[in-house]
Amino acid sequence: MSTERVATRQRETRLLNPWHALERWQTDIRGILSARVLESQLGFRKTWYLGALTLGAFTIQISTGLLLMLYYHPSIPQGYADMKDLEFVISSGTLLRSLHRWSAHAMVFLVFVHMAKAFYRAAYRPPKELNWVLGVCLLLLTLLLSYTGYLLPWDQLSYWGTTVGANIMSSIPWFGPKLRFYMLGGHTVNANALLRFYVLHTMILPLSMLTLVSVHLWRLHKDGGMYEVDEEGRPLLHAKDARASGEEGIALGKEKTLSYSDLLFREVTAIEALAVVLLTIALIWKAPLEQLANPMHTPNPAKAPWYFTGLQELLHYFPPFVAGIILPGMIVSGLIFIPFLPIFDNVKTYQAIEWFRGKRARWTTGAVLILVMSVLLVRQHAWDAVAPFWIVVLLTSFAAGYRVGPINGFRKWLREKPVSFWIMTLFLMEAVVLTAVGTLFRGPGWSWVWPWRG
Amino acid sequence: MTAQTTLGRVIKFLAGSPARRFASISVVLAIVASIAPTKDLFSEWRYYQRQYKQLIRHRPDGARLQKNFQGGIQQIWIPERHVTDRCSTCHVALQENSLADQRKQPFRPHPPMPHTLNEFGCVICHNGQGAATTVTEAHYSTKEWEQPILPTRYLEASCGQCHMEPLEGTPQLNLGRRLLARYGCAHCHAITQPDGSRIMPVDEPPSLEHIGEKTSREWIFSWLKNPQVYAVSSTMPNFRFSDQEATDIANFLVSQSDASVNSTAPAPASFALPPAEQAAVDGPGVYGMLFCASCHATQNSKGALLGGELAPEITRVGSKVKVDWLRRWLKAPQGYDPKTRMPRYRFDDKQIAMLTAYLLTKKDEDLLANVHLDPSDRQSVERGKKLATDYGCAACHRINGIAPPEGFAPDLSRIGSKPLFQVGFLRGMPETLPDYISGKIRDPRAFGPALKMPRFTLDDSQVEALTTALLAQTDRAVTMPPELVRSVPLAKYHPGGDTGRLMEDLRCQSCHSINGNGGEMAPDLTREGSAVQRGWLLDFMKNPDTLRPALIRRMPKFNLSDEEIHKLSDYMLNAYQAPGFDSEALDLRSLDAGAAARGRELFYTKYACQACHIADYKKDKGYVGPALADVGDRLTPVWMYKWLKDPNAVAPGTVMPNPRLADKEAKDLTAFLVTLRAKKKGGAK
Amino acid sequence: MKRRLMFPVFLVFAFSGCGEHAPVSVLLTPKAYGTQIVEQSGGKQAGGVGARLPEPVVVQVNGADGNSVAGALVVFSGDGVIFTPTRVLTDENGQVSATVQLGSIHGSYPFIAQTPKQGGGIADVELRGIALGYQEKVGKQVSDKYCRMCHDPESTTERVSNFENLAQPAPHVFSDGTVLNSISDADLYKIIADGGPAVGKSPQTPAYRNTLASSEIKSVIAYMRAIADPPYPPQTAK
Repeated sequence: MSTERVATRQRETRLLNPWHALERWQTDIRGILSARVLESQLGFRKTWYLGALTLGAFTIQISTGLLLMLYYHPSIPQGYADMKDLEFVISSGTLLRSLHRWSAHAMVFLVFVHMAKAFYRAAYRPPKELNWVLGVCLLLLTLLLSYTGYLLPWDQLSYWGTTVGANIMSSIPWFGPKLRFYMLGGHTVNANALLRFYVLHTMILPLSMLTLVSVHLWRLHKDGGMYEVDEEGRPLLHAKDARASGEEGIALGKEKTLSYSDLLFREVTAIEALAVVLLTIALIWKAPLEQLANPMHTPNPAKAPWYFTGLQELLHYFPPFVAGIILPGMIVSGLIFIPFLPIFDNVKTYQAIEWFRGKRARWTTGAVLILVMSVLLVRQHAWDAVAPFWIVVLLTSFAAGYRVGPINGFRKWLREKPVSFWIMTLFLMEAVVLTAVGTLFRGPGWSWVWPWRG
Repeated sequence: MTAQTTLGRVIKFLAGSPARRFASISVVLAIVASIAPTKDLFSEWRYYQRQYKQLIRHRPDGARLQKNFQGGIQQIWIPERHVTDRCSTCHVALQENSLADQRKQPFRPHPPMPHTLNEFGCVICHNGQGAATTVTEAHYSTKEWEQPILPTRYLEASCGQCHMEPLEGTPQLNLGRRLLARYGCAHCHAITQPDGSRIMPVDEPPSLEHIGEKTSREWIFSWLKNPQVYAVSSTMPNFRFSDQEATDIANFLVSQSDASVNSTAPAPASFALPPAEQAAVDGPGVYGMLFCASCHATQNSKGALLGGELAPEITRVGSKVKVDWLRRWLKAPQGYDPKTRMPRYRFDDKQIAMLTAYLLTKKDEDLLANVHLDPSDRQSVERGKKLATDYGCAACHRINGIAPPEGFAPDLSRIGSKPLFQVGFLRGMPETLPDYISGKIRDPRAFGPALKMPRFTLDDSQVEALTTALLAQTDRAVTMPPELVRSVPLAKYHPGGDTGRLMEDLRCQSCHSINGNGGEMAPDLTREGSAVQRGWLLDFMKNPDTLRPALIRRMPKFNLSDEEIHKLSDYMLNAYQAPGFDSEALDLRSLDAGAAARGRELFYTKYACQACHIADYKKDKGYVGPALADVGDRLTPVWMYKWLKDPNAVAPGTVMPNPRLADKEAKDLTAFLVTLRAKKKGGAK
Repeated sequence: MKRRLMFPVFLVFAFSGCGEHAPVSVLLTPKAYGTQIVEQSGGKQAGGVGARLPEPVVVQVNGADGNSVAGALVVFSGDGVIFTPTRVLTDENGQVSATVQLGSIHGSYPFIAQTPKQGGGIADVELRGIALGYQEKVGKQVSDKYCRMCHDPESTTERVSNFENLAQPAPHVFSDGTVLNSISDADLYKIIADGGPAVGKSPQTPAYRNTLASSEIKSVIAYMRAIADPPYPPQTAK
């Protein structure tokens, strides 16, 4: 047998045996999953598996969404009738719809927490600053996905939620109404809007999401997995990355090849747990479906979906220009630019309290805070929006007041926080407080009510 | 080893390693994911279908029922009417009449109804959620579907979504719609019916522009405090004014009152009123002869109302009106209120004096006995004007200085679809729309002391009828295909020319309908010219006498001059002719004596007409139809012949049955009727 | 959400005093006892399905001496019937009146009024409400317009009956089950449609075939059957 024939034979064998291909794939998949993940990063406590859970929720969304697409017509009133068919006729239709709805809420929530967690773990620092920006984009995409999907059932809840959301958008000065017009395909929420939202929700946004998520994961892989700091807050970089970025880093000696089964198992387990929880919720609580949308009957209050009620609450207090563009713009740009503004974030130099000790800085900050708070309180009566300011002021005073007592424990921990920490904390608290107030405590005419009175 | 530690060990083992955790959570996931399909097997509708199968198994007609039974989800789907009703999934026997003895739902057959199931489905009439396949969702009000099943006592509301015309099967709805118009609901509330027409008020509240001429502040005060004390049948609601408020409004109304045409006209001839005692004795005769009671009711000693409802009740009119006003009013009502429905009688002075004196004896001394008002002042008048404006008095009454408000009260055109979240229920009341509407009608101010809507004097069945009529005003009614909506055309006919003016003066259309416009109390005059003979018409107008002895409401005597009578008669005989009632329709020569004899036989024997009609006052007693003793003088032969052939074609809706007479029989009967002349009338009452 | 709206209204009520609220219902105890309970009025009325009967039902409790008893307890009960009130004491005339709301299925609703007797035992009287369905309601309307003038001997000021004016044989009152129950639906239809002579009866009943629709004639029969007293046996309906 000539060598040539042997080689051909071997090629054939390799070609004919699917296991060989699978083995090759397996090797490649091993490569995709970071081989350099530290063992210490595997545990639940480090990441809470938030990224994986978010991905899991997204997977559930895609699978349930595809099934729902089999039944749904984006037209009026057939869309609504399809919802009723799902509920009453189609086997497990209610479950499908509920799962999709609850998992959408879960995804918004998880993305939000994922971002907060990443922030507090300083995961936005180089070399992952662009991945952080990508993450902010993914947050916005998630909100958009959820918002566009909200309209599709075409019931009172979705119709008026969308209308309110669109009105928030049109309150942006100059180009707001135009933007609203393009988004809805008209001046009101109607059949055009439904079709647009449908296409956005089932095609454009999920595909963008998939693309961005892939990039997000790819960069995560390339940038060396999770972000770690040493005791002094300096980033722990892998030797290779340290060399590449030219920054001062500690070459990690405990680098370790990781069997992908370890991470994959844990994360898939977490995703399955999420699925169990969501399934249980969906089995117990049906996704709400109100009456057929009726443009003649405005519910009072007409509320946006819960993740926008914070904005709606702001709009209640501030003129549209402020609430519709300045504040959201500040928040989004703040999130995007955090990694690029060392003044807020150099751990060594800009520990907030140290910075705050400077007389000028103190007076300026103090004056700005007092001004903001009094405007909020006296002019707008927005005491719910003021509450987080108070908490931040109290905490910083507690941390900074060096005459009050020994500096240790929690106080010491607080003192070491950079300015960005305080800004982010303030923002997160505002988001939580405003959203909670807007969702739970607002009744007819956007007046204050107690949720247990409903 | 206790169970707890065993469980602990098991959990410890299962969660022992990532692989085991993965395995156990996968098992849990598989279990949870399989619950949903299992749930489907235990759905409510499957339960009811199993029950039904058990029910019919032991019945004698079981085999047939079993054959008709189709399992699985059933639906009536009518896309063009937006109907997807799955009610028949559980109500499986809707069309099985042999199950009529079944008293338990959901297996009763549907009782006879005017439409078929496949025409409209269920929800268009019964409300509820047709698409649902669970009991709660289908029948009750939830956040997801607010319109619960319509209680059967309001079911007629559903008919009213398409049918604007009064139907035989919907007495409650018809009553409700009449009440909406009669109680003047539509003065304040706009109520547009599904056919686009608006409910128009028919109560015609009096003008208050000259109220000071008519009555006193004290009477206005007492009236405002409680209108039903003065007149039990009054449709004026009780606004529950305080004494101060009632005084203020009374002061304002008197102060805004200006002079009517009547008061500026020359004073009526001076004549003395007969003394009260004489009026009490002779008055009733004049009152009765003039047939005032055809329109005006009075309460008798037992409290029962006698008389018509076209005009105000006058039981206590003597406590209300001023003498001078009454005299001028009886002389020329239109001089006080140009829009009144009261005809201008040609009373002579003596009649006016007697009538005035008699009406003044109709007094209730207690009515104003305790009313003592402070003198009117500027502030009070100002306050009164503000109150009159706030409470929308001008929505119903004409008042100087206050324009009728537009859209004073909420539009009720879609009240039947009002979303429940827009409704403020009272504590403890059932949270349904019918309960809200009826509660609101019953006692509007219970829903908030600041509300302006007054309380009407209505009994329970009237409230239920009104609620039914309002529940018919739904969104669905508006979206019905136009070919389904049966509307009633609105006629606006008014006679023209000099005679038309005379007929307006006599307010003929207050009682008579002509070309679809006018009252319902007296016969329709649209074809009167074809029906009656000239001689009879002239006599009748000179001295009206009822054709139907059973009626207490009669045509009043207007004291018309001969010239007026001729004018009216000629006009009616010429203008109110029906097509086809001409000399070609009937050959008068065929009405000979032989025919009359045969007709007489038919009248008394074959058709027993005397059961309802009187041809001879000596023999016959029939009271249902008009007396025919002088019909030969009254009606034209052509009319009689055509009428006998098909009464419904001549006067739609008449009670007279159509005996489907052969031509010859009809001619014979006509010949007989033509022989019935007044001179034969003997022994009349 | 609706309740929130009512909060201010509730406050007004709360501050206007609680005196208006009815006391918690107390079980009535009879102050006197009768031996017999008789119907005064309203015991055989017809009304729409699910609707209140037009007149209240009035019953009277009598003692052994035949005189009425005041303060005796009367309890109404019946399947699918709602009484207001259900338990009540007789007034000074020994009478009680209750409004009656029938169930939502058409047909006859028997109910009873009971009173406890001195020393145990119960006296009761059987009454009946008739719920008219759509067909029967149409029948009632048709019959009121076309038939009642002769078939109902009662006159009012507004409506004088023609009953007395007719020759013998006199018309049958529609609720007269003793006669009408024995006539089949088909025969009744024939009488109404083609007049009395069609079945060999008096020509005083004219033929309505050309005036009334067949469905209307059937409705009249259904109405007759519904109000029949004694009740029309439903078993023989087929």
